[in-house]
Amino acid sequence: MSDTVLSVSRLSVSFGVKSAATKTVAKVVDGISFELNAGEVLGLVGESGCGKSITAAALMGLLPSPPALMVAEHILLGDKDLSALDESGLRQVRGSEISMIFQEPLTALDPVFKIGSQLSAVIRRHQGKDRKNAFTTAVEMLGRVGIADAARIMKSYPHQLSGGMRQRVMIAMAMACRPRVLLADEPTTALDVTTQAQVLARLADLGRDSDTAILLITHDLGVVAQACDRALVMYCGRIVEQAPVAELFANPAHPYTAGLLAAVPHVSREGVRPVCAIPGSVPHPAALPAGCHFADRCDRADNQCRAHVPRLQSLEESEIAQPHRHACFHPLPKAAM
Amino acid sequence: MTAPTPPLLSIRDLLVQYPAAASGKRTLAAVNEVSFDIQPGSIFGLVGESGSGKTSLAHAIVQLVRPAAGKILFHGDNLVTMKEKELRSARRNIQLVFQDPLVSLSPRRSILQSLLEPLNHFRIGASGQRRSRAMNALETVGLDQGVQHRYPHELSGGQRQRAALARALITEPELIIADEAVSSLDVSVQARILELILHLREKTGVAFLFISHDLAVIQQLADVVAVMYLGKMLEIAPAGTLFRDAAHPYTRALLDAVPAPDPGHDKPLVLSGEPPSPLTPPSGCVFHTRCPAVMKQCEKIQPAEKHIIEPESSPSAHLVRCHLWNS
Amino acid sequence: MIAPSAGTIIATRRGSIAGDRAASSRVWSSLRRDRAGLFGLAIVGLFFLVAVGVWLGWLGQGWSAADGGRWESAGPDHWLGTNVLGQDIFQRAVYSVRTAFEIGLLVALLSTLLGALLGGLSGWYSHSWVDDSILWLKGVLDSIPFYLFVAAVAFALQGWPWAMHLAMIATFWTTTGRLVRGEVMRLKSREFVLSARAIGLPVHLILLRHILPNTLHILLVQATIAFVAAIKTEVILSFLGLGVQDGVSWGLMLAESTQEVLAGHFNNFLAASLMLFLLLLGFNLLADAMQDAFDPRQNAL
Ligand SMILES: Nc1ncnc2c1ncn2[C@@H]1O[C@H](COP(=O)(O)OP(=O)(O)OP(=O)(O)O)[C@@H](O)[C@H]1O
Ligand SMILES: Nc1ncnc2c1ncn2[C@@H]1O[C@H](COP(=O)(O)OP(=O)(O)O)[C@@H](O)[C@H]1O
Ligand code: SF4
Ligand code: SF4
Ligand SMILES: [Mg+2]
Ligand SMILES: [Mg+2]
Repeated sequence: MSDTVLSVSRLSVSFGVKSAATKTVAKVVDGISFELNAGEVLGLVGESGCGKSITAAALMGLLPSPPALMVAEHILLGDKDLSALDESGLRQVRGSEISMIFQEPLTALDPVFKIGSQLSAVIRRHQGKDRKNAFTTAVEMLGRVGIADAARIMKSYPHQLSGGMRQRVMIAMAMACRPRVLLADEPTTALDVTTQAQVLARLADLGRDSDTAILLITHDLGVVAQACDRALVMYCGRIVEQAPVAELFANPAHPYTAGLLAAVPHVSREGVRPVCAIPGSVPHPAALPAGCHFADRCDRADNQCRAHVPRLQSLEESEIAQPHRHACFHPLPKAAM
Repeated sequence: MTAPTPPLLSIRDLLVQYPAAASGKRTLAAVNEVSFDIQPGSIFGLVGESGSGKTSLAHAIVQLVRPAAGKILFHGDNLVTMKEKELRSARRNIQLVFQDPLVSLSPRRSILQSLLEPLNHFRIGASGQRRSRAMNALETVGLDQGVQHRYPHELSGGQRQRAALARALITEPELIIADEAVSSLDVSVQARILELILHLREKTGVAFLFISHDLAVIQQLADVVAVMYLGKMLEIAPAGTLFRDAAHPYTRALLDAVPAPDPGHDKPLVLSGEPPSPLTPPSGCVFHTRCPAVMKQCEKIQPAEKHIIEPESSPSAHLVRCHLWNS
Repeated sequence: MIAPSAGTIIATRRGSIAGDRAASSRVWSSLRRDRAGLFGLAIVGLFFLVAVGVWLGWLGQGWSAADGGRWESAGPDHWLGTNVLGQDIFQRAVYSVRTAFEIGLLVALLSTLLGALLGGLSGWYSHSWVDDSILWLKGVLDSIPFYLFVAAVAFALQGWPWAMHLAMIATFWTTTGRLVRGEVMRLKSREFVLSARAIGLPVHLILLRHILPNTLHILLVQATIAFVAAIKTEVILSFLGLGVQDGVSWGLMLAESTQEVLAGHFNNFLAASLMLFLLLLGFNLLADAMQDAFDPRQNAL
């Protein structure tokens, strides 16, 4: 694979949580490290509340810093260390070099202006085009995210679009910035399967054509299967498994990954199949169990799991360029082939 | 099952139009001559691509937008022609639940305040009892009473969606319209909300119009499924029938496009071609520009609605709009 | 018992709704952490106490009595000396605090209210004739040079003492109106507002219960900005003779002092400009701190 564009080392984020008497600290992201390569689509999966959006906000430097406290060894974007930049330095990097699609499209679009003017403004700023060229590029970008009547959408206000259209406009906007790194937070949750497939394909094209590295945040393993090259599985602020996608689906090593896989609902001609959700729910970050955070929900848990924190380690067999790593004392055996 | 119960909600030839943005006098038909029935206590699933008119249909039913033509019969009374005053009882009996639970509850009002608002508005129960009604509603959706004083952002996504359901249930409606109500939840939370919806239906006999783009979710819940495309209803069938023997080429394409959670699987077949603009819908069959089975007459003649299963022989008819079934 | 919050809205570009409730307490804690803001608050508080003192008749009552000689220098009788008419400069400067607060409060309150009302109407009925006419009015007001407008109003009203206030209110609301309009349009398509409409809640209740509380942050910040602008404008207008008609204000004192400075007497000038500077400094620090505290990025998560 090609070179690393973003390298994150030991990133932690904590929040002060005030309760009646005491002030505790909730560690929402706990020392995660990963690398993102040019042109790659890296999935970040996990249940909601496990710290995915916070990770993205931390990378963008958008965490509100009184309540949140961020520490990192480094966050290298090219040769810049984002964790050492101040607000004005970050502002220069944001948008042009690292850009983000937010989870909630309605708040991110300005209701006062037409889609066309918002989108062309972004294109003019980031691609240095004049008004007229920016307009044609905007129409073209909308077409690329599968909006058929781009001319009408350009003249519409955000509230006149359907939910899925708004989300695709946001995607077009982020793509128009041509960033080196794109953080996409649940970009397709509001989309139906066909549109989702199309948008994911366009995102992947974007990665390939302009060598943009994409961190695709999602709770949907179907999306990971469809769009990602590699995936990180996150639970309670830690990365618990990391592998190329094909390997991850074929041989999940961590019980949490296996649980997520089993919980994916299927459409089948034979009729309804019961969903097997992982029992229990994500613990609150201020009250995490010691040792392995998954222990309360894991059927393989033993005393070792409750006492010690499992570290990320490579599966022995995979001594390839992109290792399969997991953080579990009792990983699942490799599936029989 | 043979005794025909009168439907709870009947939609007849419903037309919802918006003025097309800044393009002269033209209008855009977001919902185009749609007809269907919802039986009391049933779950009616509605699927369709983004922009196909699902939300517009939902908003028309609760009169958030006034339809341009057609009838919305609730217990046989046409809501479209009613004045705001007369709508009051229908508004009480039809409730909405939205996709994003974070913005569907008023951010600066506590859960209790949000629950009390419809009670006060419709003057349900004596004012002293309203609070205990609110507590009951919380209990019904499986929320702890302590939640009442919290604000929406202090709850988790699953809890918020439960609270939104409690708010919808509190007026004891006969129909709840849920627009993408579980789409933003992850699989494990989603599974629990789906269970809750089935449980509520059992317990209170409330019917649902359940809108989702997720066919797997629809299959878990729905008794009857309808498929929309460019404002038209292309197929309506009992869920079992639809997932087993989909009749319409579009429905089949949708079913084939469901991504398997398995990267080894072939990439799902994306429907060829772009969805056409609702401003200028194709002539004849609206799907003909992308249909793999397109025939000569499809481009000219609108296919009529055709019963594959007659209503008499089954609890619900299987309707399809396609020339393949008209010969 | 606290479950993890799931759906997240992080740092959307503008006011996010998530966490707005906590915002009130967070705004306060953020203000408390902001040294400069606290300093500003202290100054403003002090000035406000002085204004209250004047209102109650405890301070600055001798502002108009000409009981000294012309241009006396500072001394035990007249702490900052006297002006050309022999009036006590210190008393006048203190009394002017009341004038400043009267103008600031009145203009801030009414222009913000007007902005909220017109902006709210225009946002709620966006893209209708109501919106169009309000936008037109705003466009017209924004394009007239301000001092020309005041002069016209003052002239038209023939020395009516409130002409200045009226002119300021009539022009200051436009920024608030624009911001409120955008926020209302944003809120209007939110699902909690749709829910309220779907149960048939009347428009005034929707605006009062669901929309207004979510625009308060804009109104508060805009009101502080309008307060500062009103005091500054008063000084310039009074200097030009278009402002305070009877009474005394820092602007009038500055106008007096132009001749005095030429004659080598700086007391009037220094007293008025120093007080003005202090109050504006205090208010600007406070306004900045409030803007920071209300910054959506602080409240977004
Ligand atoms: N207020 C409006 N003014 C003009 N056009 C509108 C308005 N609301 C919706 N539309 C248009 O109507 C069509 C149907 O929109 P609708 O919101 O019903 O779609 P949907 O099926 O709910 O899609 P999604 O799954 O993406 O939410 C779209 O083309 C949309 O642009
Ligand atoms: N402002 C905040 N104060 C305290 N905790 C927060 C704040 N924002 C988010 N969290 C907590 O951080 C955790 C991770 O949240 P998030 O990254 O949004 O999850 P995800 O995106 O994976 O669903 C959650 O438990 C959430 O409750
Ligand atoms: S370390 Fe133990 S508790 Fe944690 S996932 Fe592995 S087996 Fe389960
Ligand atoms: S009517 Fe023709 S174009 Fe339409 S779905 Fe049937 S076969 Fe395809
Ligand atoms: Mg998130
Ligand atoms: Mg919709």
